[in-house]
Amino acid sequence: MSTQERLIAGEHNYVTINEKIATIPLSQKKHPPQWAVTLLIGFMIMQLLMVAVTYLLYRGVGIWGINQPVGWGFDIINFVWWIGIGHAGTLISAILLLMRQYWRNSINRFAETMTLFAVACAGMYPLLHTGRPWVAYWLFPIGPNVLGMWPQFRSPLIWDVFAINTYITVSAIFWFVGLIPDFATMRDRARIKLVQWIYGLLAMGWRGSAQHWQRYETASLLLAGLSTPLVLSVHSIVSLDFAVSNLPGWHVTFFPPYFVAGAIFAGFAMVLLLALPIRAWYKVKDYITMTHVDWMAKIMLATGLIVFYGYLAEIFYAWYSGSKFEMDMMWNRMFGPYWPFYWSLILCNGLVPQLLWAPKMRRNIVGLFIISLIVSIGMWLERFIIIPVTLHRDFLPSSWGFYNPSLWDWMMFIGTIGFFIFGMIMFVRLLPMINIFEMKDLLHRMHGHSRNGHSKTDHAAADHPPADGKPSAGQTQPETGS
Amino acid sequence: MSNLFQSYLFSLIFWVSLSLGCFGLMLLHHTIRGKWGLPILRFLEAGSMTLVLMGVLFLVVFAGLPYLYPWARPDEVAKDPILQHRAGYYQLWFFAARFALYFAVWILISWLLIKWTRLQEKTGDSRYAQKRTNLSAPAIIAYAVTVTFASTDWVMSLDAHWSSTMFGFLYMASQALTAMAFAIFLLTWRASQKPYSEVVNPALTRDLGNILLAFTLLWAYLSFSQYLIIWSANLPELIPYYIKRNKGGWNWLPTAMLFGQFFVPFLLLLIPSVKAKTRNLMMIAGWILVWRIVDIFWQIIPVLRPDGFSIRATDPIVFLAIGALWMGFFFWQLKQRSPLPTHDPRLQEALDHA
Amino acid sequence: MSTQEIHVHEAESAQPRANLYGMVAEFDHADDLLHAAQQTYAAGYRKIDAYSPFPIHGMPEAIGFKEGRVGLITFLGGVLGALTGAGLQIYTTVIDYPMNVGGRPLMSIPSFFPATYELTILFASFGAAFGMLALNGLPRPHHPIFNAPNFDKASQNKFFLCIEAADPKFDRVETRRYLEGLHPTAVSDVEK
Repeated sequence: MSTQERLIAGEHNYVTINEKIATIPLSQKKHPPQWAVTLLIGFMIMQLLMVAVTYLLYRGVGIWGINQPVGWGFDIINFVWWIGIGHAGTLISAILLLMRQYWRNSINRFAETMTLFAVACAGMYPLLHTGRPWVAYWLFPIGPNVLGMWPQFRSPLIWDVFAINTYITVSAIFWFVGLIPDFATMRDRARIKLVQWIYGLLAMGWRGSAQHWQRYETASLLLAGLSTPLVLSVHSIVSLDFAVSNLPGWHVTFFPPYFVAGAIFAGFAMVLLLALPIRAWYKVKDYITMTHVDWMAKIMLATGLIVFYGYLAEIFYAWYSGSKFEMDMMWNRMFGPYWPFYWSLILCNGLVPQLLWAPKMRRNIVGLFIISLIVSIGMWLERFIIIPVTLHRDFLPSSWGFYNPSLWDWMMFIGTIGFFIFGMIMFVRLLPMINIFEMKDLLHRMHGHSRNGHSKTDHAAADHPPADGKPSAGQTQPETGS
Repeated sequence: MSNLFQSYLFSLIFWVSLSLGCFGLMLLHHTIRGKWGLPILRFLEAGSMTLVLMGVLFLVVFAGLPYLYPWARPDEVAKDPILQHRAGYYQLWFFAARFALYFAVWILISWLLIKWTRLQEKTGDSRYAQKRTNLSAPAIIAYAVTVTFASTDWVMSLDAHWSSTMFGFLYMASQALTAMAFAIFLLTWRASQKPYSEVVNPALTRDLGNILLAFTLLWAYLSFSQYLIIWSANLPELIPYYIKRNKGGWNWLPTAMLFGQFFVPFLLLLIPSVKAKTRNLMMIAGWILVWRIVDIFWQIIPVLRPDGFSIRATDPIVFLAIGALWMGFFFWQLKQRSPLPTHDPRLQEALDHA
Repeated sequence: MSTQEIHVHEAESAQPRANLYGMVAEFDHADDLLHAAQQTYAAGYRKIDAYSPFPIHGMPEAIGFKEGRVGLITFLGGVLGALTGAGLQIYTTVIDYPMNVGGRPLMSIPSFFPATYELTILFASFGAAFGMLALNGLPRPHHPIFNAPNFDKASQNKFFLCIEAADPKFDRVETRRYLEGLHPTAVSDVEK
């Protein structure tokens, strides 16, 4: 039980969990000034996206840096980067639920929300890269009556359409299903009519009946069971966009698991980048404890090692294959015009994460924040190496070129980061950022069995809510009914 | 003569995979210290120790290199620029040195881990558990690197031009699947005997069944990804690997494996009641082991017998002969110590409860 | 509850009220609710339900509720998704508009696998989520149980056991006496 006990630190009971988590969105005065500052920064950066997209729709993809021979540039790099970040969210939530790792209860909501915004950022890129997003429905098999033809199912790009759409739909469903009981808690705690009405609508009349819980838990487990292979398949299919081609540097059989590992690696880095400051600002350290941080750092180390294995395997087999093109491709990565990118990649993703072997490093908040930042940059570099650095040397030297992202590329990329920050920071204010009912479940699992011990003190605390808290037991009136 | 070496290599690779799978799972167990690993730890330890035997048996392969590997046939190398490119790597002394290094690393790590378990059981000093974890985590890296190179040396190089970055990873997953099926088979087979009957319960068999399911999925995922990528790009250096293994009567094997090695165990292991009964789990584990043999056979033999599907008399004979040696060594190792480890209080609790 | 109050209720029970949904007992602890539910089921009540802010392990068994329909619907959704995916691709690529793409066979099974797989998962997820909501009868904004006093705490920190009036064993006096024997913090009628 020793690990479980560290999952909720300090003294807590059902009432203080309600106070701590549900009050954050309900009491709009409780937000620290950092919230407003971050929101403002996010909102301002998001305007870059608005401008970039508006001009893109007006002029077309010619404003980007893509041209012969590099037809895929920032659009695909950032698409893969964002989708990878999204995956960690689903994995934290789904795999850990299946493995009955209760430490996930405090971070799963956060992670799932991160997935939604990251996938929204990712989805923009292929949509806008089509050049005419208003006819994006051509991607779907609507039939010859409308389009005169069907999509081409032997192409990985159409697999991607199916994978990404399935992914965003299932993630949204999983996220919303997880929120239903918490919406009910919010409905019952809200004191403003409009707020009650909104949360009530979202809760859909949830009443916590045992029969409902039974079906609900089955559905949650099934959704988790479905999300896990879904995430693995989505990033594998993203990797197939490259791997089923015959380009050296893209035609790599190891790509599917290596992309999946990279996605988890980058995703956990992003979770830490977001969770570490928010944990400090909102004083939810009791729920997101050092045990969680340590676990996430270990997973980063493990997935980072798989990614590094991939880099080394690519080098060895490029040589082993004896293929001139493979060897030239690898030589060009290491010593060609983009060499600083390659060696920075090795530094960021291969060497720096090795610091996480040290238990002290895994529990050093500042150190971990910096490592996570480095890993996020490293994973972005990885996609840069795979995409433009492979494409810029075509088979014919006459078609060699360079890739220079334009101002609009940068604006759009930075703008999506703004959109992501804006979305996450709004989420923190409007929805319970930690899963309330699962935290109560965790508390019950930890203390429930010693009824005469802990839970009696819980009872005492329930009768005397903390002085700084909102009125709790017995002071709010039932809102529904006669 | 060439038949004999073909059969020998196929058999050896299967049994080495089983030993290495035990070794890999032992490392995994000591790293994450999952409770599920304790009842099968003795099997994993004894399985790792068979690496000593396998190292000796492997020496026979050196006598038959030209029968097996294109890089060991000078006339073929003379005609082939890719083999010439690798000639330095496949010099006999370097190949032998790598072989020695792989086995030295595997045996040394196994020996240390087993020693520290034994010392902990004797002295009750829990610092040995930390020592094992500290060694196992980096040892997994050593395992990954050595298995990648070993599978390249011993299996991938049977095809003169083929290479795949997935191959080492696929081998690790296959080994884990083989060893997990083997350990589950033994445990469930003896589940009604003491002391196993005291630790085998539905919670344990469910966990073990789920791990078997996860490895089955991993194997299928990696195999299919490799196939889809090579099939789609259809490059002349790479696609012959699958053409050789899909024509002339060999083609029914991958189709059969799709069902035998994947769909049947996958669907059965999804059902909770199947995982709750030791008999059911034993049959599934045995079934998977049979298909592991078929898979290794399909990877190694078609390239050596390009004229079409064939099983020679030497195949089962040599396979069973090496298997008998392996089993003899394994059970001799197993008998040296108590059937269940006594160092971990969590297993002791289960025993005390019973 | 004082004896006086019980007395009053006894007087009322002479004229059974049609608009009664049931009777709830309120508890402070999840384990109290679980024991109460087990006891109530053993006492012969069948139309009972427990309300809690989080799922309580063992509660469905305690109220005698066993159902596997969510799993079945999910499985059927998956099968439907697989058939849709495979059927769509085979129909469009092999039957309706056969076209040679890169020399690959018309029936390119490896290429058809990814989209089939995705649709299997999509339809199965629809089955799990919408199946769960449909079986639970949600969305349903109003339900008589919300009339129970203090029921807004059922999503926060209180635990409720409800015996419905539709239960054949339900009796206004007997049931109330029975519920009070379980040592709840309060017992109240719930109107429709």
